[in-house]
Amino acid sequence: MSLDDIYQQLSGILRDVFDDDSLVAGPDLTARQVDGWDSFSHLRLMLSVERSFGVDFAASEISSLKNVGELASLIQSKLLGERAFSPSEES
Amino acid sequence: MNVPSLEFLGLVIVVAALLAISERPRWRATVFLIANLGFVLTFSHEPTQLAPFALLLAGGYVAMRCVQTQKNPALFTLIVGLLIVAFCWLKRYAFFPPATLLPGLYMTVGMSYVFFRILSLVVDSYQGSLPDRVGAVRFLNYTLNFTSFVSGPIQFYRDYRRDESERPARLDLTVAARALERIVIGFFKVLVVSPVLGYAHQRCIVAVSSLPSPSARVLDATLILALFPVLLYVNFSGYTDVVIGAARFLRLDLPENFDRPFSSKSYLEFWSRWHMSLSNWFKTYVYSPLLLALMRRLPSRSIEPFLGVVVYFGTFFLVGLWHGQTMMFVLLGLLMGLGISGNKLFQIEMIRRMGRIPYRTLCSIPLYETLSRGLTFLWLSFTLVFFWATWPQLTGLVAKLGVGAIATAMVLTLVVAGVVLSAFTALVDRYIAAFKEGAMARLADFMRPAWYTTLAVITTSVVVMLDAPAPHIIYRGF
Repeated sequence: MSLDDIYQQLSGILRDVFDDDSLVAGPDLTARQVDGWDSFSHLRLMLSVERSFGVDFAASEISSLKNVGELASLIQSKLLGERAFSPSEES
Repeated sequence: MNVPSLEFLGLVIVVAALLAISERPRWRATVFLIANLGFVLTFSHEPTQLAPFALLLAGGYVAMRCVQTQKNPALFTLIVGLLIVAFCWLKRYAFFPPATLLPGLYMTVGMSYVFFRILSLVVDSYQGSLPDRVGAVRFLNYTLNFTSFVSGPIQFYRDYRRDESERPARLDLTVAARALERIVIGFFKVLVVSPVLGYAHQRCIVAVSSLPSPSARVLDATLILALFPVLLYVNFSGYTDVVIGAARFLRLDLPENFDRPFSSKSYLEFWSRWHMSLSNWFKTYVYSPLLLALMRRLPSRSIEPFLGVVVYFGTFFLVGLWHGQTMMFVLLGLLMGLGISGNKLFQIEMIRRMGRIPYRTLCSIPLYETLSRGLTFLWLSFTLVFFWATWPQLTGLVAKLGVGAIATAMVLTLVVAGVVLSAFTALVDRYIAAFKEGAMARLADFMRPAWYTTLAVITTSVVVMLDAPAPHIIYRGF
């Protein structure tokens, strides 16, 4: 799935979660710019994203996202089945 | 080793000098390892006193590696449960029978912060969200990071790893100057302001026995209530200033812990501005997973907000419980949980009745803002009584002051705190706006060195005159 497709799907989810038809998902969109985007609605959003894209988020991923761009990239990496690290990366 | 001390600054200078020799990740990791272990050893050289701490670390490391390879939910739950029980046992929580506890003294300084880091590594490891496989050296460097060992802040592993070796934070003259300012203001808070406030608070408590009139009792009760949050803030944020400033010289960018907490207009907002690294940790590893699990089980839009209220209560009950091992901290947890969930419930109900925009308009009315600030401060002051007082001390104070004087003091605290904090917040906002640009910004560039030099001179003079060690962080026991 391309990033454009992910943003398009995300726009629909954002409109539904925040009950605002004017919302358009873009890489620079942040929680501060959306009315009602608090820690509770953030979780509601993440749950909707998980259901819609069929992916699972880790606890640290949910809280570390800084904007919708990072969310879209994370979804894409999960859809591509990318691991956070390869087993050979020992430190 | 105490953090606001010349010894600590000396250690930071030596480590910074060693790190400057090479930027190679292996070199940085080795220097940090020696510094971190050396710092821990300043608290005790006795193997028997260090052994429990070492066992917790070893157990944490094994647990992390175990869940990394065995993706078994039951095993993960068991391991997390065992780690929590081990931590509570080592911290001597009151629900363990005394006979089951380890005899003798052993080191517990910094154990809570280390435990939070271990637990986050175990969870991230199980969920596969670590940026790399964590080896023993990096595990020790992250969990024992000497800059934040005693007083936090709690840094997420991802951020620590970036600073430690991957992409150390920038350090130039401007950054160094700002870092030095943080250290100076931190020392000033801990060594000058904190002892004065601590002394004043103690004097008010002692004076309870000899108060001549009802008005004196009200004033004394008000000061007992209101001074402690300010003392805690000055002491704790002072320690945080010192470690954040010191860490910048090692090219570590530690997270902020405070963001003008007394400007908060609600208890919910307060906890997004106070001990932020702790609340972020609880949000990440307790609040979010619990609420998500409940939302998955009970998928109903109308129920979801109330699930949020319940999980807020549970999370902040745990935050309160974390603060200490006795029954008083159970009460503290209950009060914190009640405050945060009550606040959230009120918010939900107001939005439901009024609508989001009218409610926001109401919240921006100056009188409403003032009352909200006052109420937030009052609830904080009240809950913190269960933090600093023992049960006999609390009942003694209530008996001597009288319920009437305490109730009046609470109203007085609400009103005075509301007015003073609103005026102070407006003043700071205006100051920040004025000094951001134009002629005032240039003036600020000249004033900063003079201001911080003055603070450094005052602090040095006070330290020389008093010739006493720095007050410990109030959170030292954690």
